[in-house]
Amino acid sequence: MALDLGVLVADPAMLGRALDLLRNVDEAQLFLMDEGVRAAGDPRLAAAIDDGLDATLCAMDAEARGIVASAIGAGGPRFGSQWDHAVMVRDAARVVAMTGGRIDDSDGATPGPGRRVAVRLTRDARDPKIGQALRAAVGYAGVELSVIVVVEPPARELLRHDEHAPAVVRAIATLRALGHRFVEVATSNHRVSCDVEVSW
Amino acid sequence: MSACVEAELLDLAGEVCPYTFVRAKLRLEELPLGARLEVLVDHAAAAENVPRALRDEGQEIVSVAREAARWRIVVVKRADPSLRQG
Repeated sequence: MALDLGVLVADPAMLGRALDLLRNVDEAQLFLMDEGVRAAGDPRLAAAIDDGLDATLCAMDAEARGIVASAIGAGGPRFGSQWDHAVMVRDAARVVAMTGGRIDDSDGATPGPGRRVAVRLTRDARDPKIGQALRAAVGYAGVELSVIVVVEPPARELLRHDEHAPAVVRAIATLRALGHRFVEVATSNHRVSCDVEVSW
Repeated sequence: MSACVEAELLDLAGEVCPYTFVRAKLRLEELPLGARLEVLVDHAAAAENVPRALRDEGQEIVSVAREAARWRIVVVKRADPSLRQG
């Protein structure tokens, strides 16, 4: 069955809003990553899962924050990976991203491989969320999505030199090696042509 | 001539997500159809997600076996997708 809605949450404060969107959608998925994994034990999420919501979290991010499956209990989200996230972005008719900054709502583009996903970097290049954005972008590249990394002015140092965290340097090198694009924009209002946008 | 089919080995112990499944896919891209690849991972999540990712692109997962603190995933290349753009 086709996936109607996929919601990415990387900020636990966004959980309630995400669950409001997901309610009453037949085929929907929720993916928690970064700080969003802190919402894993929220009773509202457990109730939604009990009602049939398909919810997954990034096991690596959970582990990094000391969140273990046994502490969440049987009614919590499944421990998955960036592959689950990337497949959700590839296959959902509508993708909503709530990473802690602006909320992106992408609707209408045909799902599937080749879909163009803009990963918009809105923060300082040293912000840990930039590393998470690029890690997610590598995951997108890993399911045959076409990635465009959009670099807004606060993040422009990212492309000026290579003195970044090793994970950031590696992600940039991987994306470039696979032929994905980096686009520097002068303002946050500058849009790029894409099917799905995920801002960090 | 030996009847055994030699398998390539990709050791992903210590590797983190998403590079586990991305590197497995990229290694398969270098191999001919029908080739056998053994992938070693040392994280339980990778032992679940790497086979799912490979199956998703049409590869055949022969087995996933736990060996002490790691898992051996045996895959046969059945499809020829490319992660490279253009």
